Amino acid sequence: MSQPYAIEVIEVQKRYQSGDFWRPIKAQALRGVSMQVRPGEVYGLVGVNGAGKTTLMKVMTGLLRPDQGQALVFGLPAGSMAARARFGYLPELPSFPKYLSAREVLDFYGRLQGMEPRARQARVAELLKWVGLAEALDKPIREYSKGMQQRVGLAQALLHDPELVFLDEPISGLDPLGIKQMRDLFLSLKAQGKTIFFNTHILSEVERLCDRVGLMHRGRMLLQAPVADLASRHASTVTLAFRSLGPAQRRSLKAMRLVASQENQVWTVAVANAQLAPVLAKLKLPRGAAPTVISANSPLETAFIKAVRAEEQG
Amino acid sequence: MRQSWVIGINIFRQLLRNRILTVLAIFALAMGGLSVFLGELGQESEARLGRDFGLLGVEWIGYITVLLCHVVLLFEETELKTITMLLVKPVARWQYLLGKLVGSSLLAALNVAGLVLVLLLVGWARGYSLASLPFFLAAFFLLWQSVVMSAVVLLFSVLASTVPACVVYSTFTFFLGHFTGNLVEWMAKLNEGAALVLVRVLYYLLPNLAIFNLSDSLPLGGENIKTGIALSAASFLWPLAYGAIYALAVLLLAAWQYQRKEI
Repeated sequence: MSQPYAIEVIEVQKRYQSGDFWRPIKAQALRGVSMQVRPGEVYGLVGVNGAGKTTLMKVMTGLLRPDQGQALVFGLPAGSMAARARFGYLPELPSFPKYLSAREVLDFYGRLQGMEPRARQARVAELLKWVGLAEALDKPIREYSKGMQQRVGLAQALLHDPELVFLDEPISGLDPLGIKQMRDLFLSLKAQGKTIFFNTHILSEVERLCDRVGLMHRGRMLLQAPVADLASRHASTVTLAFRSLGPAQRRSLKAMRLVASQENQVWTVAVANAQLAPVLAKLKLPRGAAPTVISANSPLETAFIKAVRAEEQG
Repeated sequence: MRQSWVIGINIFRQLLRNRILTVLAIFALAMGGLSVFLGELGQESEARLGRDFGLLGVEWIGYITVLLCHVVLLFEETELKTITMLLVKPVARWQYLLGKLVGSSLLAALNVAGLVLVLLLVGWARGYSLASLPFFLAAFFLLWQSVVMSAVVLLFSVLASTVPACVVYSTFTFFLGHFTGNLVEWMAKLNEGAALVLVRVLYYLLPNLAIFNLSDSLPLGGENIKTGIALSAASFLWPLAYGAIYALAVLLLAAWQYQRKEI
């Protein structure tokens, strides 16, 4: 018998209802999402805010029940006690009782996991050292920075040494140092062979950390692929801004299948990195009319933008 | 049950370090001071006033404690989203609710014990004694009432989801719960019709809190207020059993609703 997927989602649909009972507002958060994550894989789910990423993660962790479809964790129904014992979960911007210390908080979660006192105390000390909070373990959490709380959150997710870790927007709201610290911790988890599933809208982090990526938009899974494949299929692009483009240059761009769009009297064109020099040579721009690079898109960003545009254009 | 105990102890510790106790300590001192002040003014004996105000304080401190506990926890659950980390652990939702009931009841017990101690010290300083089994029994049944009210507040915290709504519904129930005896009188006067149905429904839904108030039927501080009433074991067991059954029913209802709730 083959090993089950670490995560398997089959045609999941989820609709939220809010507002008043006499005037309910319904929003379709997930529209038939299917996906799989293999054991040992680092999977990044990306999408803009409101794409349905957190809802999907809540379905996988059993916090939400799908209206239709099914989510399985290691072949077990998501939300079952057996499934819950096999994963850890770090929510977006985790909060803790502010009058307790990190040691007390972790000890509490360890008790809930059914850990024996000696093993629990040793694991709490080990994890707090690993996340760099050994010096602050007895301070009340109200004295912790956001980054420190995020690291306590990561420690609670790993307390029972789970095979799978769910991380919801793990670096959102952190300062550059906090992001670096969290990234190093994820790389260390990856090296330990953990299956990691994380949500983010920061594509550069997915490129650095993930084996596979899923692109979500408006409750649909638009694309799933290994990060390396996307990098080879989609070139890095730069967006150039021109103060003026004459008819001849616009014709040249059209001939090269490049689209120039004008806004506020500035022309912008997206060009593949590798094509930059030949394109500029063919445009034969007059002296002093060199364009400015206003943004550079990685292959993943290029793939994401293409997929979203294709979805929006139907 | 083990998970609920772990959660209850953690909630107790967490709330113990919160500012709730400071407010309640001030309340306890104010009740002690008020009983002395009224004892000085009133024609009634100071001991009796000290006892009556003391037990009123016990009732209120118990209710305010459980209300504040659930309000603080509801705020943390809804605003800080602390609940998601807990509910992905191997913990059933009903175990979490039972844990909240345990934690809030433990804190109510601590506060009631604290106020009883203050009252005993006030009595000792003023030259009278409240230390009697009937007084302690009366305080215990008011604490038992707080446990029942904790289950009620818990249900409203699940149903209402917002702090103001939870406070309003719970406090309304707390007040009405003291007048269920009047509902019986109304039912006798109303022969039929929608009003009778409504009053009857209210009568069975609301907790009968009057049965936890033993101060009128117990000989307290050496005075037997309602002389001639024989206090049997049943008169103690009935409030205990009623409280346990009512709290369990409310807890089951809350658990059923919480199981369906989307976090």
